[in-house]
Amino acid sequence: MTRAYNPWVMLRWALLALLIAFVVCPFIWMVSISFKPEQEVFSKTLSILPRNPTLANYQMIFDFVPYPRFFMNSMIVAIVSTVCSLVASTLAGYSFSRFRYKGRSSLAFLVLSTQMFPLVTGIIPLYLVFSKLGLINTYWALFVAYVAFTIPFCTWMLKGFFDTIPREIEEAAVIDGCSRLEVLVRIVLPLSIPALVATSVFCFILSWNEFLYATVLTTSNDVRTLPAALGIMIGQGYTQWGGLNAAGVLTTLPVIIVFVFFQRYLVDGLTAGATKG
Amino acid sequence: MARDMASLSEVSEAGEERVSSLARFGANAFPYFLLAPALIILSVIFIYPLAHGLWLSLHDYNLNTPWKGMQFVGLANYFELFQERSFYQSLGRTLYWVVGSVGGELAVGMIAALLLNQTFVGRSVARAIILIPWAVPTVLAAIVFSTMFNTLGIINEVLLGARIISQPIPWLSSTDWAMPTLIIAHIWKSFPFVTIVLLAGLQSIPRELYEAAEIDGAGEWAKFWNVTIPGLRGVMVIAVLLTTIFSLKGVDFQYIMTYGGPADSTKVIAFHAYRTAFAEFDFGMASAIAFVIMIITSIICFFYLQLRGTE
Repeated sequence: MTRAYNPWVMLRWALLALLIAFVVCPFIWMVSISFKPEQEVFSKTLSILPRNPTLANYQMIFDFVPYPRFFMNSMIVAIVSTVCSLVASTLAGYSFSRFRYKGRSSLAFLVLSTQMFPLVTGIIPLYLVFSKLGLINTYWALFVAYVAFTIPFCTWMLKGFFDTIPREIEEAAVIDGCSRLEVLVRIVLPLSIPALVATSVFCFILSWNEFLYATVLTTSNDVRTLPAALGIMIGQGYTQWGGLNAAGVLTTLPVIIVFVFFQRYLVDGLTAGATKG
Repeated sequence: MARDMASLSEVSEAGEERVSSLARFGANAFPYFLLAPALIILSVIFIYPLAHGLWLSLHDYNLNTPWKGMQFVGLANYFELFQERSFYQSLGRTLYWVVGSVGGELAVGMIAALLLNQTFVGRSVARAIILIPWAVPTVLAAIVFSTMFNTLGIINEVLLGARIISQPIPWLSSTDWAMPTLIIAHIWKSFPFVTIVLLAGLQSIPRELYEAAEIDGAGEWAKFWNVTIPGLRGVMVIAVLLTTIFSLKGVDFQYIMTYGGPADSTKVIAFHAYRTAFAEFDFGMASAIAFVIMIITSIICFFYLQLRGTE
């Protein structure tokens, strides 16, 4: 009981409360604004709870913006990118983890160093090339970009995990007549499910949230993702803050759900990746 | 490169029967074959644009004057750039943006990591909550902070109510306050990443070091300075490097919250490159600016590797 009076413990709890308030308050305010009628958004007496709660902002999102279309675009882009990135990263991570060959460490360095690449340097030539190839305004442009963005980190995370799986199991399988790919698919992957989940969540979140490439590489509502659509609404001078915050809530809900469900896997995976990188 | 790997993999298929154990896998091309998909995609998105971007930066190429086509001008874009005052101004703003963001993210991220490294009831819930901003779209952070820091928004109301200020501050429409507001939004979005990295570092510090310090009579503060900080040096360098580079290349907050304004006061160099390309359509000059960013990034990475090499 005397612990409670320890000033360090008190300070810790106070700091923790402050930190959580810093993180949570913007969310509370966003949700609150999204249910307020426009004239209440910036009224003199600001209150957390809307006095005249309304669904008008959400209604507007569906009436004036093809929200379901953007949602579907985001889903398609995020899921396909995640699956492709997972396949490429698994193969690459397995290669780096299990084999010793010429150029291995330089190739590993090359893969990791692309993480540092300034995206704005890439988007200018890619815009010109994708225009020439007719890939602007297609999902393909975004698939390729997001798979590339996520490969370096995912490869590294999966390599770290594969390193922890004992080789003896695989050697036994080879002696039993498994081919090399069978070893990977039947033996290694089932043991790596936590790491695969963590990597998928990472890819999904990154692809769902990406803004710059989505904005530049899509110009029509048919393929535009949610973040790009929101950015363009603001860019065109749309200042209905209620509507924007409602759109923000709807854009963020899917990633928050994914994150809350899988955060344990993700944080463990990220932590492992961070210490090894 | 891709063709080489394809031919190597054919060789490996032919030699398959002779390979009988895992130990001999490394002798043939199978590992290259596994790497091929990742390397091809990375080449398309990172390596190819680098070469093409460098090539573009040596040309006069403006989509506003398409009839002129692409004209080779050598280093003229770079000479022009280095004579422009606006270029040095955007470099100065970039320094402000990067130092402010990295400093803030490191401070908040460190406090959060130290708190989450303690054992207490509800720790995993607290950890999940604190990490959420990392998972949400930057667009969302930008919208919420734009709403809160609106001249009529809640931040001004609270500050006025507490009598900290006597007049509302026009945060995003003032040349003095726009950048700090962007930095605050950026810190909110990005500090959880620093927390994750530092938390990993904290967990790798051996318990015995703390016990030894306690036996020597060290208090909390002494333990922090003499055990925790030295133990975190490695991950701290990584955290500083990564947050610096992420801040340097970021354009999202500038794009959404201010579009580089007011009066260019938030036009950092990455956004300068973006606007030169996609608002002014001067792709030659934009590529030159983008290449300068690439060089700055490379220099930072080079120093990091030097630093890591000496440790």
